[in-house]
Amino acid sequence: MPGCGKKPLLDELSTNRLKVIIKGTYESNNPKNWDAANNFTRDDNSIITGTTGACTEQPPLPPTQFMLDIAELKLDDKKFANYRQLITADINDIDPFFNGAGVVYNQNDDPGSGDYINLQVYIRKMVFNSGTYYYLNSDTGNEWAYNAPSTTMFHEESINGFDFNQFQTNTYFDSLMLEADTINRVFPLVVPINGGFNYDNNNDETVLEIRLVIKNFTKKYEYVVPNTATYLFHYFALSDWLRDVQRDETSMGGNVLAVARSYVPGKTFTLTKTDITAANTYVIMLTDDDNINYYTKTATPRPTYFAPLMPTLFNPSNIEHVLDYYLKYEKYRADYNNYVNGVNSTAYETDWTNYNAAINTFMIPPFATFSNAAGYFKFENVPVGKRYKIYYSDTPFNSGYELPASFSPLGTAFDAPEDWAGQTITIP
Amino acid sequence: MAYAARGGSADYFNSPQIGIWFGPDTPLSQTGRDVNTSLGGGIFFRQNLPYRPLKIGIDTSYQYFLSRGVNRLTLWPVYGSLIYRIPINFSLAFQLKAGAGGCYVGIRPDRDSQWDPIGILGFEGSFPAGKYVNIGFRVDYMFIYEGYIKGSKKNGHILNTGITLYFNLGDIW
Repeated sequence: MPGCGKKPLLDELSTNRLKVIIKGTYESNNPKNWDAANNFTRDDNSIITGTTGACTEQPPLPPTQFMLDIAELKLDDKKFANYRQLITADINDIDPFFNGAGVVYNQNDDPGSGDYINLQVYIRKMVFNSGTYYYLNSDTGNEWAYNAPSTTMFHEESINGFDFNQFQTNTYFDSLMLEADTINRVFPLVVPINGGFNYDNNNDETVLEIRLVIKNFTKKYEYVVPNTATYLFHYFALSDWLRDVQRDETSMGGNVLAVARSYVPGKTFTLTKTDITAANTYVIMLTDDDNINYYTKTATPRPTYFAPLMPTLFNPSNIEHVLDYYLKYEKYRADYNNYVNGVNSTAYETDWTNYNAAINTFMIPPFATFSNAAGYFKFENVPVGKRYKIYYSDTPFNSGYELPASFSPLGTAFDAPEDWAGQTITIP
Repeated sequence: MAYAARGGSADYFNSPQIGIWFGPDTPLSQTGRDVNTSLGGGIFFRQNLPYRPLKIGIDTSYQYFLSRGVNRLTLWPVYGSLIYRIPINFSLAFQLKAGAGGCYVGIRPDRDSQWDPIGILGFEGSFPAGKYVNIGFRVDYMFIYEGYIKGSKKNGHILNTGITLYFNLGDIW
């Protein structure tokens, strides 16, 4: 029979079966609202400037927009979406980037059928549209004065804001290593695809959902322009809940937390449950073969080896500044010798390696949502044919800049048979 | 005194020819939205028919198209054609071509391939560059038919252009 077994290849070439959705929330649907009191108000302990002066009197206003510039996406190093995507999301609960719906990646081709483990997101910029630039009043030498709102470029235009992605290339641990120059954690950002991604182009549509944790995960930081010590920025960026950022550090990497998962529309169901023990809290769901330990943060404190800060001379023509500088320099030399002894001891390498190994295993769960006051929650687009288990966050944590660190099981594991597809199922 | 048959553009056309061509292949309309122009080339053979202005030919070529994304299209057309020389007395010989055949179509990254029927309409011009060699140009429109396949909404449209080199075989054997 003519045409028997043939496919319309020229249609195939232009048909897109894979849809990529990006969300800026920890939750996969129904996220918690922006915690206005605790977002963008929390000063990180890395801020060391004084309690008086312009830094506290004229702080940057909370941002109203978040901007993201993605160069391309790859699956296991294979190109499938080498198209640039710019996302500008309003910081409210309606914007699709933050309300759980997500933004569809504007254009992508289909990868070949097969299995993929990691999604690589090439992030060029991440900007909150607020930041302030201060300068040091050189007469007094220690009072910061307001200079201007910080500006940066986004989408080839100058806007108010601060691109903090430039600090996310390395974690502090990376910067201690010899290979620090070759490590880049945001270009690409390697996002594990929970459960692996098996793409079959016989399905009419497949959705790949990427979640970057941005909502309710922010803080204010400080950046002193190096080699000047007379200019500094206060800016907003992602919280350092996972990898603590200390004073004068610009290695903020490892704090862009992300997860990806895939599903085939038509082979999914919506799950709802009401349980008063899990009221007004985060509820997560894993496949039964997954280990909850990957999603809990172990309380591993950051090793306390501090490289002493080199003093700077504010005003060479001021004799008091010069004498001050020499005194500080002598102290710096003594501190540095102590620091070197600490580094040369074997404990240094072991402590840092252990810390990094413990932190590295942390992952974001594939399904997460926020329950209401009655303990009602739902998970959408859950693939059928698997066995799941639910957990809820029972230990208190600070909303706005922290994530749940530990969970307790809720109910028992249950199967999701194929005939649940397309339905809303309430489990007891 | 023996007549020497008047030399000119007519002679070489009336001998079997083998040739190669090379040039840009432009995807048109719907195909042009999916893939980009690229370079391709091919070889062909022409043989005379008892009816002078007509020749028959067989052509094959290789065309590989990239796209802005990751889509790739590979075409290996193989077709037979009838070539008609326009009876103008001019140093250049102009020919019209019409043909049909099949094309091996391969796409990536879907890694799928099959043979599709094709139709060709073309126009060529050539002039002698020696006793055995002619140089010319060709412009062919290739239509890849997939409309008969269930679920198909698109057919393929490719414009092959290029310079050609013919070798007149009549005098060699």
